[in-house]
Amino acid sequence: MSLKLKVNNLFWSAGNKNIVNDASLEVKAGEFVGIIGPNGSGKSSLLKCVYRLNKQDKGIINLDNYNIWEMSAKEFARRAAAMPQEMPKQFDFTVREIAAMGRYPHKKIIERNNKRDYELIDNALNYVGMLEKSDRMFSSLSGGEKQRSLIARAIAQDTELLILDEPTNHLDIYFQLQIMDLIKNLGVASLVVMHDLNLAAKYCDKIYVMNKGSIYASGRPSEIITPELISSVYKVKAEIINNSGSPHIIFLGINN
Amino acid sequence: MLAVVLVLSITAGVSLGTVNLPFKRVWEIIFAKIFNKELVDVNLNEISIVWQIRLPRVLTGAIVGAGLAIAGTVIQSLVRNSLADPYLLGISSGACTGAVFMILFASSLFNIVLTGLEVYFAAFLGAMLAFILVFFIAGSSKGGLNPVRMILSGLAVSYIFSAITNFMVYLSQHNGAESAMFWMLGGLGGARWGRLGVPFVIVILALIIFMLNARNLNALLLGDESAAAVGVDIVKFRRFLFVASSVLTGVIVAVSGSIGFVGLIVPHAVRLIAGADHERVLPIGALAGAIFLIWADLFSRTVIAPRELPLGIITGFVGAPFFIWLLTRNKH
Repeated sequence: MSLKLKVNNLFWSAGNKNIVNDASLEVKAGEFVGIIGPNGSGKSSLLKCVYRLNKQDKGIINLDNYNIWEMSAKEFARRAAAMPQEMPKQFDFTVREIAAMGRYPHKKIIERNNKRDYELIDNALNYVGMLEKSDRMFSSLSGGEKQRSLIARAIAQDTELLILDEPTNHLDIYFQLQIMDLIKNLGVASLVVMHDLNLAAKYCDKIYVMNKGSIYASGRPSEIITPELISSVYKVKAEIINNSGSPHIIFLGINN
Repeated sequence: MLAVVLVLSITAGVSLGTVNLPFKRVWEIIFAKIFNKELVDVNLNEISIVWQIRLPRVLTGAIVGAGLAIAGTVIQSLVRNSLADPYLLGISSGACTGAVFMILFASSLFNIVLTGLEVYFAAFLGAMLAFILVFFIAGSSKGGLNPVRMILSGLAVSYIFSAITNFMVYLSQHNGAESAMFWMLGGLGGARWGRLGVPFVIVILALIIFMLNARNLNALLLGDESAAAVGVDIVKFRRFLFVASSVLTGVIVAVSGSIGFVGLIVPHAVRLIAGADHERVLPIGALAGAIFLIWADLFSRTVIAPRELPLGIITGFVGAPFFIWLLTRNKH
């Protein structure tokens, strides 16, 4: 499989504090890659460097073998779609307007949307089940509908890499599974920051475990999710049971 | 539709006042002037009221109103706050200081007789000085300009300039203070044909430039992260917006003083009706701002005629309650 994304020895700091500390990772075409780790381990900061919001202090990020800081912001967004954690508020767009923003990077400054753009927007809305609600105001939606609309935007962007920051945040279990299925079934390379370890173990082809800004471990879920890892990274005692191929974690209590 | 209302408003603005003229007469005079025709049985007084006094004033009002609405829309996206107005970032305070300095002191310092133009120029320089200060204070952090730092820097710079302005007004203590005051509250009393060109060109240019960036403005409304996700270069785009909207605001404030609330309410009201997409908000807002200011100005010069109320007082009376209504409405 060809390499989509390669992050090499990345450093990023805020103020005097090193947040991302020598992190490296890879995402191959079509691969679903998760990043897990405790609060403050630098997952989101790493992701923000990857989608060009923050510029790293040191290290290189290559997308399709090109340095992302040697391409324009637009060029980058034509190759990779990001879904940040941030929820739009205050200013109200319709669901369709939000999804249509996925076409922005593909358009020249005075170019209008053409038939193909409208098709991609409709397909994306249809894929996440928001087509009937596409004229609703974003603020009037439920949490799951909002997330699905933002995913529609990323899908409409029509890229071969998705970068997602906790896409199932604040959602009920039904919607968590629904959102994960939606993303996984797209079959494009995905780099996903995840909070829920069991969800990560169930969906990821590969997991990077972050701790204190660095990559602590990486590999297939069944290889790396062990009681020892959970104890040393999360400070929690756990038992792992095998649930038809993917590990399932039962938390027993915090370490003494 | 709004364009028709604008033409009607311009007509009304020109024909109404201390002396009321029929609409037909107004257009006869305007056409005659434009096509250089001879006018029969129209008295010279009426011609000068329409052509020398009212028409430049009404057109200036339209330009200023449109410009304020555009600047307000853009600054609301720039700092991502729907309660922001064009003066939030200290530009009007800087302009005020420049203008008041010119009015009160410059004539004695430089030994010149003010024709009015110097005041505009000083106001624009003051505006740009304030803008540069805010730009460097807010931009000194890693990651470029961010909304909170911009607002706070703007506030700090506003305070500095207001203090200087008040100090100058206090020191002078002669009749110049009144003209300084009128200037601070804003008005279109200084409108002349010769002073219309620059603001007109700048407002039209700004509208075109911002329309071309409508998609980026939309994306920025969602937040920095989302904007970056759809390919907006946040750092560069913010810098560009800040510079462009400051020049626009500076030029407007220089001709009209700081007329409050127009840049806040008009974009807001337009968004309520037309949605948040800048491809609609910008042009509709420009027309609505122009119409609103023409009527506000008409009111300001007729309500206690022959005296004239500063425009800022009128827009304040209309705008402040609207602002309070917005605040209580946006509880969450």
